[in-house]
Amino acid sequence: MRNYMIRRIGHSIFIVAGLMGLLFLAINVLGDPVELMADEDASQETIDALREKFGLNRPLHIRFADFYWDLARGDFGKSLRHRIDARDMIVDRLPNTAALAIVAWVIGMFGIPLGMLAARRPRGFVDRIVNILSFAVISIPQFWLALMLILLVSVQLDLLPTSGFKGLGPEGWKYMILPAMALSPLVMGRNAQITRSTMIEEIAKQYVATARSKGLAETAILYGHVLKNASISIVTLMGDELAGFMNGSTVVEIIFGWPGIGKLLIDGINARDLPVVTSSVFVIALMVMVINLAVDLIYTWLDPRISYS
Amino acid sequence: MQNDVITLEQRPNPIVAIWRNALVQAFLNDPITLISALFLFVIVGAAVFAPVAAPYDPQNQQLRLRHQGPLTTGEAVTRAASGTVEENRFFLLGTDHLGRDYLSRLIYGGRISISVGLLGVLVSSVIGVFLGITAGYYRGVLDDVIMRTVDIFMSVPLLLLALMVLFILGPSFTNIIIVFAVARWMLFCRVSRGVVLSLREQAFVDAARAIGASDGRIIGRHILPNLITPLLTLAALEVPRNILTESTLSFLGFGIQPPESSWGLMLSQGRDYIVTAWWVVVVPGTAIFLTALSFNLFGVWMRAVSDPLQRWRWLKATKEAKDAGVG
Repeated sequence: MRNYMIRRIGHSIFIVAGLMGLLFLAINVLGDPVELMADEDASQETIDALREKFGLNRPLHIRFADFYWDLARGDFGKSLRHRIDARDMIVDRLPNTAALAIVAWVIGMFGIPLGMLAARRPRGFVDRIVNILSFAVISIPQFWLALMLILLVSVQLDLLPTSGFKGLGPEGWKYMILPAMALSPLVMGRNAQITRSTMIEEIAKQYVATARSKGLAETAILYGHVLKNASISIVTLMGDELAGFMNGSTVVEIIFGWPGIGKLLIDGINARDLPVVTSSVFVIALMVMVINLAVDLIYTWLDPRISYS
Repeated sequence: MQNDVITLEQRPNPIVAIWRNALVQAFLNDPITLISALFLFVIVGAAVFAPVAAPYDPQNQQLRLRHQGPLTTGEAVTRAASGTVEENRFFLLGTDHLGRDYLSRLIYGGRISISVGLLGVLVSSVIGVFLGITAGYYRGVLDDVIMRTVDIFMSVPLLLLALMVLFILGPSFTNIIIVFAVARWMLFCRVSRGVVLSLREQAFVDAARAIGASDGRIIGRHILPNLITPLLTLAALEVPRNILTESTLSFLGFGIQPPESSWGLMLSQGRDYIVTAWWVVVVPGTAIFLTALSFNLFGVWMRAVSDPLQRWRWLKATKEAKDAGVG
């Protein structure tokens, strides 16, 4: 187990480092960092000054080593626009993204009982309804859903603020309802679908027939055996979804003015703020890896047959 | 002579045979799938024949007719060399902030949105299938390298990858297709590798090899045909994903750029007028939603009827099929 953990963490670090390396090469070889940072109509002097200031006239391999050294120390440089450490901006925004993600993720869990209900009678009435609803919610563009919610709830009914952020404390909850409502249906639909399909697959297996023939109650079979075996796929998907929220809530954050990592990344791109972009990408990738690692550990607990030796 | 006539009568008419085919029957008996397929047919048809289908020029601005609601009419004035021409226009879906007919814009926008969806799938599937077959057929180090790369790409969120690519390359139609090529090939690779792995051990592949068929012939004639169904199913489910991703990217300003238009860009332009003119946001969003939904429902139906464990649930309802002894 310990060896597996070490290998697994090494693997994650390799992926994050590889991704950042690709980003560095793409920025420095495919493009020109100065061009990405400077305005389109910047004069030659400004460009030269920028090149000098960020040490971009040094050879590529030295900058490459420097880049990793900075990442390892957690030093991303100062934001070009706000003149503060990019790291502080990230640390500031991370709890906002995490809070919104967890709320939407927890609401999304209601898809699991829906999927179980549907799986009891495939192609039955409940199944058809759940099936169409789940496909409907995964086909809605999230940003459109967000706009529709603003139009209906905020503009027409005047119930909640259209956008904004007032901290994560007690006075801020009103601002969180609409973003969470825009994010959670997609997760709910996916949870319902994966629960339904894995349950149907499991129910067809031999052990269910055995359990039935020895007279076990259907409920005990479904919850005691089938759900537990189906939970591996469900946990995988839920891990993916939580990881996806680290980046996937970007559009919703933009529309509702929610100051999270996704909005920071987009604002950084729009302002050509390279340190902010690099650090946001790094943190998002890091979070995704940590979540994937956690999912892998939960597997061992769910399915003792999986051994990591 | 008489014998021939009898044989002809016994042989079912080809049209009847298609009609009695279990798949066709299951398709016709499933109203949801039927409606999605018809809807897709109409949408794709309108996109292909946009110049005919669109009632007016999508770029024609009528500043006096800004934000006319749906189902209204208005006098459009066009200045031509021969003098001003007045034309009574009917706006089924209203007009936008520059007085352009929204239905025409929707049809032309759909052209871009749907071609991004289809082209994206085409490019990513070609790359994925090529790598997947290489990995599954030749195994060895190549397999390891390709599948590790798949793992790496799978663990990067789609939107993050897309934003990185577009940040560096700049926004354009071609670059969005590149995004899909970079970010969506992995599933095709996994699926085709899986199929190839199971096929290459089978007797008919051994037989082909025994009579001296080359690798290229074995892959092209014996393996690829078996890949078509799973790949088509996957593609049908990938198209809506691509359409949604394109609309998101265009909405954020990293996708299609004006004067070109897509449904996502229409939404992004209409966003500022959401309070005064609801249809500029409702209409393109509904178009994206219904198109994605139809592709999804059609794709999931394809997956179900091509899955031997599931198909009986979809086929059993068709009595004619049972009588005909198929399915």
